Amino acid sequence: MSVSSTSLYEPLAPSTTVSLKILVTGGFGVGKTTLVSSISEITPLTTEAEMTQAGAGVDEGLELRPDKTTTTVAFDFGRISIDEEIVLYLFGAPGQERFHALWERLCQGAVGAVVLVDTRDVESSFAALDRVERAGLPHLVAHNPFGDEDRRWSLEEIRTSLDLDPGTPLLRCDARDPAQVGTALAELVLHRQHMLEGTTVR
Amino acid sequence: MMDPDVPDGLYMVVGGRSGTTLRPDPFSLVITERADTSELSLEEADIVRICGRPISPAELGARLNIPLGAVTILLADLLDRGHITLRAAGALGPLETSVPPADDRRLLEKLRVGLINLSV
Repeated sequence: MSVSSTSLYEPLAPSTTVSLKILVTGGFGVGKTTLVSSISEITPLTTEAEMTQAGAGVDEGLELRPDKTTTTVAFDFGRISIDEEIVLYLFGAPGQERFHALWERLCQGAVGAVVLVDTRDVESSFAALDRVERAGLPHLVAHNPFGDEDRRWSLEEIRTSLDLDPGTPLLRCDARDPAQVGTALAELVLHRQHMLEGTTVR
Repeated sequence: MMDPDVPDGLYMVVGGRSGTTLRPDPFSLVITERADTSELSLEEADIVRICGRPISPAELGARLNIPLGAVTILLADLLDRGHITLRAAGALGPLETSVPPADDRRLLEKLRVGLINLSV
């Protein structure tokens, strides 16, 4: 494990002094990894964290390897250098209850969360939505449409089916499109700014 | 007492350390403060070299293929010995002193404008 050059590591600018982070969450196969990939300046990376709680199952961007005492969870992340000072890390994490400890640690100090939903399986979005709500994490809901059928759902229908709070921003966002992802993330930041100012958001 | 984040097999990599007072946030930034690697293990020396430019613990773990729990402990030790320092002002937990970055109005505005500029 010798390191001959730091250029292999796609380093940040030396002037970078602040990191901010945003969680991307949602149900199984909803496009979390796609969203991170589409806007990240680096090929998304995966890191492993160990969990003491046993679990089983496979989710997108997530691999479980049970052994006698720990379970390894892999989570994906990417990054965007915003300017000479700020880097934004985007990380995907599943909404399942069994990842509670890791989830809490990753989300502490986050700007907020993007909850991706897909109308083919609205139910699976509830767990993720419920968690960010309970954590008090500022969030918006982004509908990632899969095909024409999915686009027939109006945002109002989605808002109703998810029983979303009127203050929670909801928008459509093709997770493959960097421009739409950038807009969604900017909306989330605006939502946090509004919450900080204590004003009612839309 | 074993750190619950570190399975037995990693005990060697982290030099037997198991208890740390500081757990850097996975997405905080670390940077080298003292580049002298003469008394460091191979893993520690790699970290000190890579941290010549700012990098997050999560990214370090991914690049070096070391699980996050072990990276956190290696970093805590290097912090204690003055080899590296943490840059992000707020994402620290125990050392948190000022406004967390995610509550800093100036930073949020720069972030929002930067994201809008990315999308046009």
